[in-house]
Amino acid sequence: MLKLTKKTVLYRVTLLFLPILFLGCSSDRSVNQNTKNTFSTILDNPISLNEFNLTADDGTEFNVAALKNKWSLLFFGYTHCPDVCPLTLHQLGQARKVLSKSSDVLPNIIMISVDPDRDTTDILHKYVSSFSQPIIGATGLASEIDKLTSQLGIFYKTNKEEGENYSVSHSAAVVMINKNAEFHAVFSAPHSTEHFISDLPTIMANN
Amino acid sequence: MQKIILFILTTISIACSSSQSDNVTFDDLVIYAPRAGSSVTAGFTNISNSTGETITIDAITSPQFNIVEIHETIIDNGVAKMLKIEKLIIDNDESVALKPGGKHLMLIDAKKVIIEGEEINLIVELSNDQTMNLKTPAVSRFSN
Repeated sequence: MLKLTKKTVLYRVTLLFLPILFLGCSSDRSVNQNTKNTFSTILDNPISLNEFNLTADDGTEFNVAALKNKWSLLFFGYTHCPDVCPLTLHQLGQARKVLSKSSDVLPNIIMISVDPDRDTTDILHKYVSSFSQPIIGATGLASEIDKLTSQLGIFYKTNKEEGENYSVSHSAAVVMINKNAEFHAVFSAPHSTEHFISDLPTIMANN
Repeated sequence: MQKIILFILTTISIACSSSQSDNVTFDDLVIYAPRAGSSVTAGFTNISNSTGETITIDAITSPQFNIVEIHETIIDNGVAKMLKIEKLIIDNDESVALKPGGKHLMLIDAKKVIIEGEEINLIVELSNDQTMNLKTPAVSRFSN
């Protein structure tokens, strides 16, 4: 894990450049090459989330309050994504499954659909339920999704110029939210189950 | 006699357009059943060309899907994007792997719900005027 050393007073600046920081880092650079088996970047001072209002796949409100008192791993994708999304959700689920053998402290896995025009909560519910490990789906108005993504440096773009079966370009990062509903850490792509198994226990144990 | 000859010629013709071609092979073809809630899925295979010339895959169709395309997933500065490959080029004596996180078959808009084990057919049109008919049972992905 890479501990950021920026002083607290610089965090406003850091926040401003967070999207660039995440989107500009290549996957190779996002991995701390100096320490083996570490694949995440931890914010030295976690960032509180501002309010947003989405709906979970079970119909309940999904907002800042819903993220409190548990660790959460947020992945932003869409159900029409045939490759990266199911693969990443599977890797997260498998990591959670392995960690469950040695710990009761397990993160929620949450997929935020950035394709609300196609992904209703019903469709999202069917989709996340098709994985063997528990996954929460959430989506909502684009304006509310943007309230969350903009805080986390997550980029997405619906490519509607492609027609009815459009793709959505989206950040492949997995964002970790701590029990205080603060932006705590990020795993940059490419992901693997082993990356998550390696870092998650340490992150959660130290906080 | 003419009927026998016609039968033999027809049989040869069908055999030449099947997936049994010695020149172009689709090995380890896997097509996943779309996840619940989705009508889109991916397929993977390893395509080899020993025709003696460069070939391109001009088109792929399937009776089970309205659209079949070849796409490539790229991670560009942390952003996952899918790019459509209009014509996949395979040089002579070369192979192209369609695999997770890279190039893949993109099967879009399933005509009905496809369950695990259901046969999926692909009709592949090559630039050398060859047509290949592939079939494989849909398999479940990440259900464990």
